[in-house]
Amino acid sequence: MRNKALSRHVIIAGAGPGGLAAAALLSHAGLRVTILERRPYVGGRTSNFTAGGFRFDYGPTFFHYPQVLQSIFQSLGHDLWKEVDLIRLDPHYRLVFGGGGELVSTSNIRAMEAAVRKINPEDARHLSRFLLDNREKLRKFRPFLETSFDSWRDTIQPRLLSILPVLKPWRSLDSELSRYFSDPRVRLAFSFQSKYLGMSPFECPSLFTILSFLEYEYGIYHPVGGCGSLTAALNRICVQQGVVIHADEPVEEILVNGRKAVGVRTARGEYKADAVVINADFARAISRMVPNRARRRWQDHKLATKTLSCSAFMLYLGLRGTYDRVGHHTLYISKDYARNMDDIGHRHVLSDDPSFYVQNACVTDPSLAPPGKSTLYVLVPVTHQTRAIDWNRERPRYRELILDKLAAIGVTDIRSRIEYERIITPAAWDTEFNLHQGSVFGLAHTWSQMLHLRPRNRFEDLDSVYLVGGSTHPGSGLPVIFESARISSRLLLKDLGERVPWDERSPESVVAGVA
Amino acid sequence: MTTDQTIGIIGSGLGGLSAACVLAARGYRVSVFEKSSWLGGKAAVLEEEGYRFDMGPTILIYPSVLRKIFAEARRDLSNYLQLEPLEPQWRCFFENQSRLDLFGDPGAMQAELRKFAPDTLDGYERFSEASAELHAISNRFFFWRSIGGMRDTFQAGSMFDLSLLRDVSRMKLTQTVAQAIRRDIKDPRVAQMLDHLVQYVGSSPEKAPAILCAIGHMQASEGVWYPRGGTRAIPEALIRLARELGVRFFRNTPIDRITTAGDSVTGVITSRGEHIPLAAVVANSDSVRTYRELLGGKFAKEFNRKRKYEPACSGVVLYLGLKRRYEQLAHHNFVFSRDPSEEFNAIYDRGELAHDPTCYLCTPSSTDPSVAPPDREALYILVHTPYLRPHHDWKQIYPFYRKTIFEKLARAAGMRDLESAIEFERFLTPADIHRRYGVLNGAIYGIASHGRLQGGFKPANHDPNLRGLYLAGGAAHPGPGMPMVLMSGWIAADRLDQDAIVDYAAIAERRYQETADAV
Repeated sequence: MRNKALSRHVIIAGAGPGGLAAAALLSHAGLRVTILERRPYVGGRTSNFTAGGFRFDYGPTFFHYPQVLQSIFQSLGHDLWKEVDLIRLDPHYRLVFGGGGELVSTSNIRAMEAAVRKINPEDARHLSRFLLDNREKLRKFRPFLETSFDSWRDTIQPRLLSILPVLKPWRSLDSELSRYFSDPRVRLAFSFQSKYLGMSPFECPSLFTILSFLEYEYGIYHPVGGCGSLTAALNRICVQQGVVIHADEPVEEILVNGRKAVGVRTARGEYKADAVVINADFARAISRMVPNRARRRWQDHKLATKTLSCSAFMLYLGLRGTYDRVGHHTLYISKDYARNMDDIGHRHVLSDDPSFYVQNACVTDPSLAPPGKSTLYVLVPVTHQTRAIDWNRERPRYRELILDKLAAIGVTDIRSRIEYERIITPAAWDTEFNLHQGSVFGLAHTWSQMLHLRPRNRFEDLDSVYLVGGSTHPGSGLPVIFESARISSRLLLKDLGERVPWDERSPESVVAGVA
Repeated sequence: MTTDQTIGIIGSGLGGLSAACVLAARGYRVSVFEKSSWLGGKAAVLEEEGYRFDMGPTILIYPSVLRKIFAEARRDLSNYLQLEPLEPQWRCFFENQSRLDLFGDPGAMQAELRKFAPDTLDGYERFSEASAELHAISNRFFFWRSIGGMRDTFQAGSMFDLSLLRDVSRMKLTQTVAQAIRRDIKDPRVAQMLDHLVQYVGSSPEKAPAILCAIGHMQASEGVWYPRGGTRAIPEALIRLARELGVRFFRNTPIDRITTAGDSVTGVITSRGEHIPLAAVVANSDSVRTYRELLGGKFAKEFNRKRKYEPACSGVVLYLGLKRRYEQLAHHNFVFSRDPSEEFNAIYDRGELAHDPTCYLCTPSSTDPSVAPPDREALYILVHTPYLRPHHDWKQIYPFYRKTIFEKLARAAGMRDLESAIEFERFLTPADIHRRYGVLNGAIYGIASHGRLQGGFKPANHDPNLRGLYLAGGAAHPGPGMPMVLMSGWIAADRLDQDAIVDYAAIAERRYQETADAV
């Protein structure tokens, strides 16, 4: 490594998974990196909090497609599998349908066929075809996930046009799945993953059938200690590589000289930088850090027209005793799922029979709770913040409703067992976590907000500013957030005329090596 | 992209109707051109003097394909069609007067075999398992995608997929249907019964590849069904769905030509000389004749260069209104020839009539009294014959063959007074079928499934050299028989949709409207 004092300096605003990965990649490439984080800890929402001996992840709890992070670790000279204790989950999760029936998802394809057969024998026959087709789809689309979309010209490159029939932008996830599965419950089993992006399967582009495919192809993992262990490992690497991390120090403004960013200002002073990487909720960060008049494409009135993904009503419960019969991940699917999605995305009201997700992680990872106790993480997708819902008033009512609904997945008699409890409402996501309108997945992944139409990895409105995280291309979800760090870091290094060390090994061979 | 975004479908047989429904459900604008005055192709109905006959197919297996087509449009089949299960599925009569019922229920089948030929119990179970496995392989590699040969199969999967290689090794590529059956089944009569499963596709068990044994499991797993109103209720249901989805039908409109520009389809020319511009064409007409007569030129040359396709068998169909019922008959009956080898050799090798033919009989009145006046029967008889040869003069042959058939039924099925019971009679010979349906050499079942390696393959549902041409029907992949033909329409439509033939903005707009309406 070169002498850091002589190197160029990069400021990273935000220590979420994207910011940490970018910091690790850029410092490994020889740049001097400083991370400024608003909150007193690193990891963003991919981090833990501990209370009463219980440990919870704030945000992501599913970790799939570890190949991206592993390939980043390898280019840093580390091995993800040694840094983090990853347990492959099998079965993946259990789906409980409000309308009746259950489906236990597993990447053992014969067993999965049998599980689908129990719901709909005809649909089970189409599983192989679904997997074959999606393997092909991912193979064709992967190059686009791994490159940047800098202008509309990038989207009319012949390569992308040639795969239009594969991407089928005119079809929704649900309609694409109708090609394979007749039973709406089976379609949901392969489309609810759009909620990882905060979207309804009825509106999410058909491309995202690859989300469920990735689970069956590459599995779902639990990092011991929670997904916070992933960011903790990245943090360790950053510190080893000399990254300076200032927690509790929010960036207030990006300093510009003409159209070029030259540093940032925080409450403690000004920092000069050759480049600035933003790893924060895009709408919130941009409207705070860059004055409206300095923006062209992303002015406030334009931001206001963008479609936001949903928010989440969260319950973090520390319990006496354990629910050993409830698996690691369980999803309850509303009896009228279409209505539930409509309530969230269009009508902006609270459903009486909402879908929800429960993680009972102690069945896999007892380290998260004291002996004889367990944690329960409950996520209810709800509309992003609107004036129609006053969460101060709704909060107690919705808590009771959800605690009652837990019986549907076998979590009965819960009130008497609650020892610790924390609730995060959309209002709290907005104010405490600085997520615009509490939208936990940022800009929706519609075609009008994807590829070059998403905030670009190289920020359009200012030179020397780059974006990483779920707000930019390719989108939200841990694997693609890590990919965004790699894409933006590559652009930044090239713009500064630096080597991109990890490109000197073929990325294909890296992925193939671990797949 | 063309300016006219309509998809044209040539022929309103079950394959064409299926493609029309799937395309319309996915937001396409669809026009169907039918040369005849009725819609539904061979699934036609003959209704006269108080009798009602399905003129074409009578045995419905594998109804899940129909359900899937309706599910595309978010409709429930049961609101369009009432299906009743038939058990026993078939009744079989042998030359030596013995009788065997084919049951879908495994317990009932075991009990039947224990009485009939106890030695075959184990073999029958082995055959059932093999058939289930071949069905699973078909599902993975042949069904629901456009495939024209072994190469497409490998491209659909990945060549290096180990499970594919394992499946290929299990396809029993070196065996015929007859051999696969006789490896497990020693009793010649039970073997003859199972042979006739490939009669659904009009091919010889001695020439068809063993993969077609999958039909056994397709029938066993989903059963045999009678649609209330007869087979005719199936095209009626599809036509109703298609109309609800905005499909337009043009009857009495034969198509003379498919027009092309460069390597793309541009439209069709009707027999009245009208040119109709189209974004794409799904031909539900016989595939060989479509290339020969509607396209010609280099596309036909390329199609013929690849492989020579042989017509499947033809048949004689009798529609008899009877003054009495035969209580010994079930809904579906086979009266078997004395020697299957002799019979198949005549029909499929020598191209001549079988002296002692197998007769299929359908007597639906016990399931559905509305087919005939009280205590009467609408008897349907089908006897397979070779496809039309130049020297077959059916005007001469028919009266003699009718007599042969009646004698066979009297001898093996105890129907001695058949002649005197007839009060209504119509028939179709291979020559009639050829004229009436525009098929290849009078073949009822499109293209024969002959050849251990190639027999499983028909022309693919798309043409790699001609953008905008799709094939559906019994002479296209995956082949003849009602479920396969319905599937062929789905595949043709799905492939068209996958190929992004039509300006998708228009489709997206229509879809969006429908979703908005639905929510």
